[in-house]
Amino acid sequence: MKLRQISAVTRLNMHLQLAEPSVQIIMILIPIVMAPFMLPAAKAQLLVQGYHAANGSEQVVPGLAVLFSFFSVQLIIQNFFNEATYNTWDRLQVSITSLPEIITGKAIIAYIIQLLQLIAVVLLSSVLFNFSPNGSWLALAVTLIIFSACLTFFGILLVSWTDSASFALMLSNFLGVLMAGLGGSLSPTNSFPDWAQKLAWFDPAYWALSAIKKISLDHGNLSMIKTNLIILIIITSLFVLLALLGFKLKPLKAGDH
Amino acid sequence: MPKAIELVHVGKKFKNRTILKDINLVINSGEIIGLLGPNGAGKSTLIKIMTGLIKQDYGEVYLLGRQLGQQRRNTNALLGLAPQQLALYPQLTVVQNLKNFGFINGLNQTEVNQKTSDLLATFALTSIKKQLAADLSGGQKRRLHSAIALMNNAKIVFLDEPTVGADVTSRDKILNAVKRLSQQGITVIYTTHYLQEIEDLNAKIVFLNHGKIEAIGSKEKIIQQYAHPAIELWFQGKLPTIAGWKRKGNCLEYKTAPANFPVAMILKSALTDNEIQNYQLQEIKLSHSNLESAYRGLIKGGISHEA
Repeated sequence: MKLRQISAVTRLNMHLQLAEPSVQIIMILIPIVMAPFMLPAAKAQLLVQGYHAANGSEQVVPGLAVLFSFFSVQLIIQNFFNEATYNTWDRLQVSITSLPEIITGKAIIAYIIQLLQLIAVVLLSSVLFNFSPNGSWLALAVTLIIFSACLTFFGILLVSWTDSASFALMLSNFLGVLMAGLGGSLSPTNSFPDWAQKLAWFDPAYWALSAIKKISLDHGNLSMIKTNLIILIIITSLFVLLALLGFKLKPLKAGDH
Repeated sequence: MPKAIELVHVGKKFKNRTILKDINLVINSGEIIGLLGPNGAGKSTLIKIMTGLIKQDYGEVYLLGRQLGQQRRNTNALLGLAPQQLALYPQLTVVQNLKNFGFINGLNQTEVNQKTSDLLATFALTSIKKQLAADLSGGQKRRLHSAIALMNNAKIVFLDEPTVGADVTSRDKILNAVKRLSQQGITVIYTTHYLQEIEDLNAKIVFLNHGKIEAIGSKEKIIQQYAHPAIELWFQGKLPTIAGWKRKGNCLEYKTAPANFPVAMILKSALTDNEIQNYQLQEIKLSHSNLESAYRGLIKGGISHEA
């Protein structure tokens, strides 16, 4: 792989994303708009659990940030399938840029978008809703960095195994809402039935949210969330391997013709 | 002349349907090839095979002496492609489209700037360079689409119906650019349904039908071999019966090979025929021995199924 060609693809996709930033902005704004309605109930729940200093943002902000970052996976999917819709796949494939370079370049931009979205929601929430973790900000940053990679490769995995944008988007929305819900985006996982709590162990959202909860409410630092991070890295690696296999078996994409 | 493209016994099937059969073809550097044929003849499939977008089922393809598939990056550096459908990013400007494809094709910043400014001028896009591709007219989009194919240092350029939907000015710009490429020694594979373009480009013709090359050669050779000039006599009411003339709808038609076409003699013979005096002749039409006539002769009235 040539770094120069990867950067050419990254540059192209950055231009494409900057030309139409409305979806990314909406994905940042909706959690911010929704949060105030959910804060009182979340605060009451946390008080019952013994977190007397909590203001509710410790539950609501990470939950909404994670939920809407799953919705952003559709941007990754469109990032790939739009090449087929615009008929530009053929041009890319006849260029000197190889398929692995195209995938890597697109993955970099998709990752940056995911990460920036999560960071923007967290930073805006800290200003607007006084979201202030009592643990390590560094641990929070590392969790967001790894979880963004996990989501990026979840999107790329869906692209690699599907033939059309509509099918990939359907899967992304269905699995995204399922994983976000099961991971504790909307309500704490300890309120779930046993089977759902066990199922959550296979869900990256669960490991990300439980890490953020430890950092926000339990003075968590890097060593306290080590297990969460390792499991997130394992799940991300699994997504990468499956995506590579998918692209090997199904390299051509049909777009939305 | 060095070979730009060589196809040896190339064939392709889709779902048990033969799209290309045993194609053998040599294209020399600097030639303009007019790849002609009805819809579904296999033209786009052949271009996709030559550009490596799909793989042939059998046979071999050589581009500039290299077998296709080997050293793909080096080979692709020498190819330019304007696919049949418009292939550009609607949300980017004209300049952004050109520059990004320049970088994707491996050009450096200086080369990208130079090529962009050359192509903007060649395709008359300079005044609209900051407009979004989505906002361009059909002809402007076509010009940009063709210009993007040249955003590299290609030695072989594939233009698959580049003038569809283009106005006369846009068509002229595209054709002039193609002529200039040929003068620079670049090989151009050009498909179109507008035969006048092939005549204007003075292209070597490769005629494809039912997945086979049915004719190959210069325009003159193709016309000489396959054109069937005709005279039509249009009557009001009933049609007479004249020896050598066939009924075709509401007229009588005389068709022959170009070599046997003494128009005056054939007409004199028909018009002095006793039979014709009792009918009302309205109009005489003469269809010349041109490329269109040769094209019709080659198709022989049959249209192959879609590729």
